[in-house]
Amino acid sequence: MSVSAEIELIGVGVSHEDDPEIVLIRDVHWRIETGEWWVVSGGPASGKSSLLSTAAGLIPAAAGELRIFGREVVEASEQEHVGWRRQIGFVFGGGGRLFGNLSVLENVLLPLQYHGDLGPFEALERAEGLLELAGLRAYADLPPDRLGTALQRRVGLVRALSVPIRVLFVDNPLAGLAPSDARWWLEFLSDLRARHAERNEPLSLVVSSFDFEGWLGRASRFAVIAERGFHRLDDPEAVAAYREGSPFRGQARPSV
Amino acid sequence: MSAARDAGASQPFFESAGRRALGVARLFRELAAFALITLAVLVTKLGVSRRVVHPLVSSQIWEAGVRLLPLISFLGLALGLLVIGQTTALLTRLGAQQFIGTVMVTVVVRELGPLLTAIVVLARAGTATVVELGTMRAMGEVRALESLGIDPIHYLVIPRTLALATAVFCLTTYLILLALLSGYCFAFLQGVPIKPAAYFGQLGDALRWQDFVLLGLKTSLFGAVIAVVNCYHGLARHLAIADVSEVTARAVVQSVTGCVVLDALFLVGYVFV
Repeated sequence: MSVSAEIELIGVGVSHEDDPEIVLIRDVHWRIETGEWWVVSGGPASGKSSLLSTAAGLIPAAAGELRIFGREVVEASEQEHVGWRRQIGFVFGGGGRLFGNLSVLENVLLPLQYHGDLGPFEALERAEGLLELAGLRAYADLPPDRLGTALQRRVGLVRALSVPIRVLFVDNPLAGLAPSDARWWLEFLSDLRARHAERNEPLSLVVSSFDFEGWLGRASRFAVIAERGFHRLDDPEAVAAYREGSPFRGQARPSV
Repeated sequence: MSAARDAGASQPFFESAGRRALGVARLFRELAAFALITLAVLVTKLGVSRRVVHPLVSSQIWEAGVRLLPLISFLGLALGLLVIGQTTALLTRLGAQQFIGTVMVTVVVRELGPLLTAIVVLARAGTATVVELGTMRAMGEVRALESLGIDPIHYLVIPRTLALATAVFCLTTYLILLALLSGYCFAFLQGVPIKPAAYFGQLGDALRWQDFVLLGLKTSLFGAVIAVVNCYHGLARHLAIADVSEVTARAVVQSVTGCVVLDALFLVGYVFV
């Protein structure tokens, strides 16, 4: 009997976030196991963000079956959906989709306060601690639009980590970053995964990126979106040879 | 030949009328569904996340209620001067003083006060809601709420609905009191020979207990209709910048229509209760 994956996509069609009629990727077979670190690469507008949103259960699948923590999404109750949402962190691309009417600290506090897992003081302590960890303590009282895109994205990461999670999706974290910021992300995500492993609470990590540069040697699994399909790369040589924009010559096979 | 031509000419008319009727029916169905979802969330999550939702309700009451006090005061005084002061003077001149209370209660308490307040709140807070929520949706913040396990209806719609219902009720009460009081003052300044005791006595006699109940119910529902219609238009679909003005205008028209239809239904209540 096979162990159930954290997230499993079986023949899933991925549609555009704002227009369900537009199907960007067809027939995705993908299993995200506990503790795996996936990097999904693809060119601009290839559907990376929509794929991650679909896998995280934020966008309904256009076709096929999506299973989260072993349960089929369309059959789940609203309570189950809320339960999943609290265990799946999602860091949006660009400026992290922060709430413009709240300060940086309030953005991080919101999920903690809404779900009420911690008392007011513990929640504040946790939020401030996470901001400190991400080097954002000095910006806590500022509105997000006073920060640059790179720092806004970091706040998005901290907000996603404010509640305990099992799976973390990060949408194109290195896009448009200075080399030092890119290094920070790579090291932070590696440390985060190591800390979870130390606590025996393995974290599954799914990252999208234009290419694999920087992720090689850190991530454990690689995939490419090309020709409107999802292709798992099992061969390390194919991973190393892949470049964004180059004709895709990887293995196209279902990953069930 | 002519009959055939007439039939041909009337076809596009019927086609377009039919399409319009279907569009209105679809809109009504979607609005009703949105209102029912809001009601369901309100009932099922009444005590959930008070630490987050209560401050939102307070800040919305501040925006849609307290900040409108100067404008409502001005309108109350204007209503007192233009409508009540003149009506009282006219009725006194005609020797129909005994009808002052009935006229005031019918015109100001039941109709003009609630509708005028609802329209002011709609202009100030309703339109802002469409722009605010439309922008939030366009920027992906609504999806971000969902990703954090926060129900957008609970976080965005419920506080606005509760706040607007409260604001319209409180502002209407304030407007009516101010209009009736200032109306007497203006009538007094015009030399109308009516004593305060007689004026307020007549108002008291004309008011029935049903007036208080129906006023509370009507104004709260006006606020809820404004909130639901405007939140629906802000959240229902992805808004491009170019769409905002048109959608906002549509939301205003539909909110006013909703309030007037509701008002007509309450008229039945006033007649039969």
